[in-house]
Amino acid sequence: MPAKSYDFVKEVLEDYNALAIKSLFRYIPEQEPRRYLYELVSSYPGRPGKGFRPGLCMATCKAFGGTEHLALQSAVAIELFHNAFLVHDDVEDDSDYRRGERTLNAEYGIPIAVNVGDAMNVLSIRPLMENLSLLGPELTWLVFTEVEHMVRQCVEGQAMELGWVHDNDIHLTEEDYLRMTLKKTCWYTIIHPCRIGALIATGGEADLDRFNRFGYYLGAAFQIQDDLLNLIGDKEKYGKEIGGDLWEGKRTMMLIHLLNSATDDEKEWLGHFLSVPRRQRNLQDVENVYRLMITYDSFGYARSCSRNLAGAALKEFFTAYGDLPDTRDKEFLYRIVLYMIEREL
Amino acid sequence: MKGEHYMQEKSKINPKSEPAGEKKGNTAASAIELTSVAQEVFSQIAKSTSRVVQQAASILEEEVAAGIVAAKEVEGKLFDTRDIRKENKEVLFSRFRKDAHEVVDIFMDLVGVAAKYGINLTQRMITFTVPGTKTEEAPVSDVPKLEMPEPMKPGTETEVPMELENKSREVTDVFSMYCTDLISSQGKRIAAGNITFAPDTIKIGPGQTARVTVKVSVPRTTPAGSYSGLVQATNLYQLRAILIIRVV
Repeated sequence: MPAKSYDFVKEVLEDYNALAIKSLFRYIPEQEPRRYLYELVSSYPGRPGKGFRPGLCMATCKAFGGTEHLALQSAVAIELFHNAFLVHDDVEDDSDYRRGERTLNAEYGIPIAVNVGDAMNVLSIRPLMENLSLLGPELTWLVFTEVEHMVRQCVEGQAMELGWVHDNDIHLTEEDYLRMTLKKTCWYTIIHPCRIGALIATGGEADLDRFNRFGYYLGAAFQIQDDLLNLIGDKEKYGKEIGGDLWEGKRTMMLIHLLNSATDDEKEWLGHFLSVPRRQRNLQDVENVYRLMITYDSFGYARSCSRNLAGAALKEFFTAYGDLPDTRDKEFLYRIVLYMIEREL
Repeated sequence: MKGEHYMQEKSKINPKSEPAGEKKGNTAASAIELTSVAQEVFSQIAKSTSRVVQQAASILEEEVAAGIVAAKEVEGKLFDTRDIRKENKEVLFSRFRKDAHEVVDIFMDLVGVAAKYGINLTQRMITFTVPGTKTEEAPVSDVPKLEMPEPMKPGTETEVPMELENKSREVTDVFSMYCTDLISSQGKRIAAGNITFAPDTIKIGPGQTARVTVKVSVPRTTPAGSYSGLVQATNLYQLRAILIIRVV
């Protein structure tokens, strides 16, 4: 893969991410309790992240004629919500690594990690409140409505996925997966960051639904790629334990494909494997699931779906951004589509 | 592999785009070398839409439709007066109503609610125009509601005739009506297969009307609740209405 092809995307992402993280730290109180709260709040945002959400938000704002400054506080709020989700997600999944370092739950235990995640959710409200002086009451309210929808969709999607694991549901379809991904990932990773950026830039004049399909296809392609990387990626680049989703029994596109392709005996065995709590699963069984995925080409199938969706996202790019003047940010938004499914981290 | 530039890629996909030499403000002008993955992704653009993308599009429509209903419920709780709604609703709820995916200048207007209560029938009039034509009546931006006049019990069926009126000066293409799954506020579903339309295909001349019958079957196991879904038409992308059923 010619890494230089994506240097431009990475540079823009890094610039926007650095801007957002710098601003984000301003919202973390410099007061007690430091050791088990505010110092830990800065833990995940301080680790090297991809910064897709602030990047998409600020780039879209600029592409629509605004400035990154106008969208910065909203981007910070989204990034804080995102990091809160990650902290709680790691607790829910009993994960050990995040962005190349130990998770807060692994390092400090579940109670402290949950409280840190709660704090990040609360802290994300402040930058949205401060939009008032920057954007005025109407736009501030509209951004709030976008964020409210974004957060609610995300927790609903997460509930769907957790419920599948809790109930050991092995009768899922691709449609179930796509719906869950829309709710859990796409609204808050792509659709709402873009919507909010355009909303702010145009003072509420833009038709925000123009981003729905673009964001959904891109977000779904991204999520499938993320799940693939979890199983076949490089731990050093990916930053999480490889195969963690298999240990966890996460209902990924690959696992759902396998469950729908396997023989009755294999499916029965898979059902038993998935019914066992994570810590009681053994390496041999995990490797067996992996081998079955290779046998049924579940990786190839998921990869094909991801690329189909990315193709559809590229097509939708022109609905979302096609009528705008050609700018650096528009080019970034175009190129990020391929980057998001070819990335190794 | 020969590299291609963004604008060249864009020109292939979007014939309306400017040629590469005319672009402005494009500071990252270096050629992007297409990987095999990128080539595969680009090849998907030219192909007919894949199954996974079609599924995703359908799910998005359903979820947005569910959002319309939820938003209206919240709106009803927040704002009681019509005046307040007129001031704010277009801005607040535009995200749920518009779909810029296809720029089709059709609008639909619910102009009459002539409900007939007897043998479970209600009648709706849905008026629309064909792109590029004018109508003297100002469009009403609400998505029309098709609400069953009486609650339904699980295991029963009912039919609702509705009138479609083409107020434009052009004949429509042949189109069909279809509906998404109906979803309750508790997240329960009535699958789309339980909602059918007769006749299967419709074509309406300028100024003409056509009657379409919506038939709804409520499965025996359906929990009580208010269920809503989005009714749409092929080839008339913005001809849409919300179907609402109360199950008791």
